[in-house]
Amino acid sequence: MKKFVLSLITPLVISASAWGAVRWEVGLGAGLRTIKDETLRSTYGQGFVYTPYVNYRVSRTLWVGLEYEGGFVKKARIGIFQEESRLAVEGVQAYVLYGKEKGAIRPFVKVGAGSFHFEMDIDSPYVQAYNFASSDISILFGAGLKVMLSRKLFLSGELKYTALWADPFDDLVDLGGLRLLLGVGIQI
Amino acid sequence: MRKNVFPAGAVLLVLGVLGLTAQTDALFQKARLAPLSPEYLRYQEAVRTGRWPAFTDQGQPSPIPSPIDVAYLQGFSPAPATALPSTYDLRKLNKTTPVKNQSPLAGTSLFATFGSLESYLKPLESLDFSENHLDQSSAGGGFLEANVGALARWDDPVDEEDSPWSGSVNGEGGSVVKHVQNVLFISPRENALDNAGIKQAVMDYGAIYSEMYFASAAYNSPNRSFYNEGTAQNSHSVAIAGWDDNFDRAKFFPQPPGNGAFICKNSFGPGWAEAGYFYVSYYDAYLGRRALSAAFTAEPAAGLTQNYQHDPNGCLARMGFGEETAWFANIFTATSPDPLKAVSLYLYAAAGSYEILVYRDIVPGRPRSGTLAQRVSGTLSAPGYHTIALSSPIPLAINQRFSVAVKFRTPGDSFPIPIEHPLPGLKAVFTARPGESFISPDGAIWSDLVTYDGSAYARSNVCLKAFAGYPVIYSPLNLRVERLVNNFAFFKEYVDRLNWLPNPLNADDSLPVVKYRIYRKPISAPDESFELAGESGAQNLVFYVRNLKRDDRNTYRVTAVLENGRESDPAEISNL
Repeated sequence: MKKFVLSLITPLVISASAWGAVRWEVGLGAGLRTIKDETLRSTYGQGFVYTPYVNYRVSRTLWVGLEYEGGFVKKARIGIFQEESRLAVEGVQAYVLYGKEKGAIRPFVKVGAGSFHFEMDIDSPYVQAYNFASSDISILFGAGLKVMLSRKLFLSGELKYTALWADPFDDLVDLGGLRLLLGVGIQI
Repeated sequence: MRKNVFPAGAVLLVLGVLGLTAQTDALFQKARLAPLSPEYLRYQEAVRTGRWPAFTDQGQPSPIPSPIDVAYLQGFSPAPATALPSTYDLRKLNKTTPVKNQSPLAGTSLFATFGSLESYLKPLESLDFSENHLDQSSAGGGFLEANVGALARWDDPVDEEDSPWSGSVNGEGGSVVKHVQNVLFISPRENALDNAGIKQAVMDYGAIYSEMYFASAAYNSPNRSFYNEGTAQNSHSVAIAGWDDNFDRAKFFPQPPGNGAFICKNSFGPGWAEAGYFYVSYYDAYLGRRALSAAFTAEPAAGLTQNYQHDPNGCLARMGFGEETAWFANIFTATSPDPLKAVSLYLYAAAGSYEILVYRDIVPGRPRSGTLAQRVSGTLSAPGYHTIALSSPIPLAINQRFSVAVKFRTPGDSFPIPIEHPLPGLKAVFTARPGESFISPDGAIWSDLVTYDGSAYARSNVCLKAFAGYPVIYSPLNLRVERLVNNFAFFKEYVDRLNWLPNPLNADDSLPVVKYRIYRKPISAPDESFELAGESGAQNLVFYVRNLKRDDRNTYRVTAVLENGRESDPAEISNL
């Protein structure tokens, strides 16, 4: 296992070293997300999410990264009987980011995939059997800007779409949606 | 001296009794049966000579005619309460049920009977009763009194689905869903314009059972009209569902003397004539003229619980002592602690007056012994099968012997005593036991009917029922079911929403409806599968049945529950 991990990391470290500087980025974004499914959207509305992330530079313009998205935990009354319910969605995604290397404003695009975990609880004796926790694969597409405040510190803005379809029961639900995130990061 | 007193007293006592008996015999005639109807006598003769069954045009056996002669009632219709409209059509008032098809069997009296009863219950209740079951219960009698007898003994009506008219009379399933406690008889029409009795009954009760002769040649297909001048063949029954005084006589063939027709519901299916209905001329020689017509009524089965009776076949004959007044009585043994609530009897006269006496703890064989529990008197204004409520419930204990004695006066008629009596040609089974039915000319000297006049009445019973139970609770009204989809995004919950209306007849403030009970079963499961789904408060007239699958189809019943826990008959609906 160690050999396997080393075999992955070593080329990255070597390549990064080739650019002669530390090329890690660590940041935190936060903002709004939407849900494409009409029922969920009308019930829970938009939600707040936060995304801590870490990027690693593998070439002059190419990064790989890993981000966690959390914070979307919503409570609302749902259905004909307006019963209390709770929906929580969180996930981890890995991506490849292509971005401008220099300048005060550095646009970027990214694409990736991950796994999202979602839970729904309905406070009803009639449908408790349907309370669930499940996971599905996601795909993300994003674009944004980094605004360098100093040589290492930057602000970021990002518009991201995560595609996520879930079917824990009979119905296929589109949990995908846009994220509009603002954040701050640092290059190490 | 004292030794001589006893023999002398005994002799005087014996002489006194003999004298009283002789006096009684002199005062009162021997009781005898009322004459049978001429049609029934012809039927008996045909049976005797082997010429029965006669067949209709359709090749079906002609039904047995009523044995009771009602010719003396002809023209005894009470004056209508209000001016009658020139046209009236129950079809336009949502007071009729779908037309049925008797094919491939006969049985028109069965269809006309339920054509009347179902119409009475509309529009609040749309029920479909089983003619097949009634055919079994009435022993294939095929005449009015046989049907009334089966209904009055609470063997019918049952739901059609429990004993469908399958073309073979073999269904005996199902449980009784209503209690028939009153049937109004309408006197035979005296002439073509003696129609007020039928018309008033149609307006008051709904469609009316009526008999005719269905001679095929009298039917005019293009105009859906019928006029039988006098062909007495193919005995037939229909339900009269309205009339049109202006129905043009030119639409009949041959033409009657005047306009006017009854709108009749037939039992040839909805594809016949005008969606199963046809127009019978007021001048028809037989419709409503050859026999009694009848308006059937019913009340919820939840109410009266016990039917004490010795006359399961109903009233098939009448007897009397040659006077307008006679006494008759039945002795019963209580099989339930439910209190006695009502008494029923038959009146075959234009009017009658009664005095009902209920005794408890009687001596066997003596209907007016024991303790008088109640005396009720009153009048009846129309012939029929009548249930008379007692002024207050009479408590009974299980195995307690009680009697109901009636002094009955029928002006203009000397056969006031209605009896179940075996007549040659009837298929029903007749049994009787000593000590149950009694007759008397004066209420003092009583005779056990089964030993009266040798063996002439050995299998006869007095038609006098007693009913125990409680006030009727009426079913909820307008029960509806609607399928809802409760969308939780990741899954859909299917929900049946039931709603109903309170029955305004349950308006007893001292014993209010406190809740409703909801039962359910899969639609194809037998009735025994009903399970309690829940309850709702008296003011909450909606109930949700949740967590259903998309393909779940259920039948629901909703009952009203009183403060004392008693429950109404159910209203029923299926989610199709």
